Amino acid sequence: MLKATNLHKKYDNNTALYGLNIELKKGEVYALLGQNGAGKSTTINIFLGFIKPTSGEAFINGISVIENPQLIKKDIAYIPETVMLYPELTGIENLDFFSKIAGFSYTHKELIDFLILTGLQESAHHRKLKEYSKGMRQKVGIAIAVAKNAKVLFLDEPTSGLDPIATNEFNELICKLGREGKTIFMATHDIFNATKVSTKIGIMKQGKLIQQLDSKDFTPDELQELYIKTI
Amino acid sequence: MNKYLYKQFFQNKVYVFSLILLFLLGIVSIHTGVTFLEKNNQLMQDATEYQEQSIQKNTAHETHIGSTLYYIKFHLFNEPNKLTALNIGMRDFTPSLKGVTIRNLEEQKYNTDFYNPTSALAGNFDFSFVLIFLFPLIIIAINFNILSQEKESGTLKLLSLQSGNIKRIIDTKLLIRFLAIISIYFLLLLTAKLWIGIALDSTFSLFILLGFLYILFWFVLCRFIIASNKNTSYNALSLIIIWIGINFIVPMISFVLIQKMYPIEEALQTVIEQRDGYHNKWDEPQKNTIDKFHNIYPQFKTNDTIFNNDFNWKWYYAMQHLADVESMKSSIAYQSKIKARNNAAKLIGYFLPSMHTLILSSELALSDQNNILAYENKLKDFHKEKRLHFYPLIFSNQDSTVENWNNHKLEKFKAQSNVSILELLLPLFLIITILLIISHKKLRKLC
Repeated sequence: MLKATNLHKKYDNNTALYGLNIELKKGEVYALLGQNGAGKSTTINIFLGFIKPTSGEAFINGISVIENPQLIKKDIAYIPETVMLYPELTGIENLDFFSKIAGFSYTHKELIDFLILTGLQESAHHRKLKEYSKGMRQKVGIAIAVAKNAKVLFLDEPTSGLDPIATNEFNELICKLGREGKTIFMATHDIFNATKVSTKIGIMKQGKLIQQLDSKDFTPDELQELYIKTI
Repeated sequence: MNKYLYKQFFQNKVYVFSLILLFLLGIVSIHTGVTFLEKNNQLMQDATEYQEQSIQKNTAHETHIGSTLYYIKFHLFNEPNKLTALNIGMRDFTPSLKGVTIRNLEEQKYNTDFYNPTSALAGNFDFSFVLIFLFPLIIIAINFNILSQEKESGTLKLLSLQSGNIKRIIDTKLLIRFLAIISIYFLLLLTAKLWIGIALDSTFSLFILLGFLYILFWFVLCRFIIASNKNTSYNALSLIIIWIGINFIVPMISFVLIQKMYPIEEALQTVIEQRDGYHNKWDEPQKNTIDKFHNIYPQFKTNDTIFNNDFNWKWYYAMQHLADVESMKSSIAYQSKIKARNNAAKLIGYFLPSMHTLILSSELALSDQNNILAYENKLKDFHKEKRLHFYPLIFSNQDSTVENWNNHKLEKFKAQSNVSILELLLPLFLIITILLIISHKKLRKLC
């Protein structure tokens, strides 16, 4: 479903990615760990089509991201660290607007169902976004991704700044989406959550993918020990 | 999708305030035009009464008609059309009414009603001012950050991924703003039509079309700048610099160049020649003057007067006319230079939408330089008509009672605008098309 082959990215004299190779199957949840500047966000931005790699290939569902950046957009969704939406529109209006521009027209009930699916309490649906907490905005962001019926979800530091309850709810939602067949690629610092929700873990250092592991083989403590040693 | 883009636009209080402000300023400008027309109507009525009273006063006593005609002024009114209220243009500082005796014309051309020049310093706040200078400012204010705001607030990535077509979203946003601005424009024109009573004829239709294209030009220009995908301050600064450049700097430089290219020494020369032509003749033998006059008008040759340098009206009016004849060349040269200046300004206007809109809207509203020249020419014909009407009476030494003075009412001149639709459309259409094509290519790169 998602594949990177020998991806390189250079910014003037700085190399952000050195020959990255990743392959994910449908329904897999991949957590990419690494310090700031390790190349996690660069990797996501290449898959999203916002950055062109210096060399190498990236595919989503067998389609080259570099050659067909427009075509792959219908299959992908992105949830950044802080989901930015329109503050003057309500949660349901934001969902309706972003669904409509993606070509989906849902009934009011269907929109409500998407928001309920993400765990956003009903009392918030018709409140303006400017009144939402960060966690609530994340949920609307996920609702937008789900409503788009995207095959691959890219998450960039999704639990950063969320309180423990919101983080837990978020993790449950990610696991559920994985079980439903969504492929999820997540850049994170959070080792504990990475082991909890992911099926595969990658550790990056200075643009190189140092380790690729199966999550089920490690406890959070073991992973943390390995991470510290690797980094 | 559009529902939310509309909602976002109208939820912005600054945008709504800008639109209301623009509408109110438009209403004020229409009021300025209404006041201008009322003043002109009043002026015409006053001049009609003045001419009647003047004729009554000066014909009350039986005297040589030459003596009567020394005092009586005949008025020609340059009638504005209703559209002039929307573009007062050069009528701001050139009188719509001139009164002339049948004495030499060149001197009288510029002897008009008293006018306080300081009142012209600020210019007239007419509808064209609002259209040409203020509409673009509001258009810039509501458009400059259409894309950069999305980028800076972090919604652009999501928009791009969801839609896969940022161009469509930007164009929809621009369209919403265009509809809002154009609604204000049409609302103001409707108000003007009802308030002033402007007929919906071809002239008004062209005026509407011109303004429509001018507004469209500014939207397309904003699209062009937005498509560069630069930050908010860059967009704002670029558009303001263009606004200042197009509206002030380039036209000012152009006018200086035009003045250098077509210097008009003839204005002063005409005055000197007609003054010399007239004053020197007081010292010349009357016979020379009257012979020259009879060469032009042999039909007024009579043998009943001896021109022995005693004052007589025949010689006096001959001398007056010869002053005009002697300054005729300079007068014609002056007119042709003014025309050349006007044509040069028009040519520059083909590349400068604001200048083009200003010049052509003035032409349509009969408030441009051409109208002034046409009025001057008509005044010349009017003066000639009066002279030739009275010369037979003067040269046959009639007194003022022979004339039916009731026939001499204030006369009106109404010019016709000759703006062709091609001349009006083509420059703006070409600039709009070029900007659309370039911005289209730039926006496609964004998607």
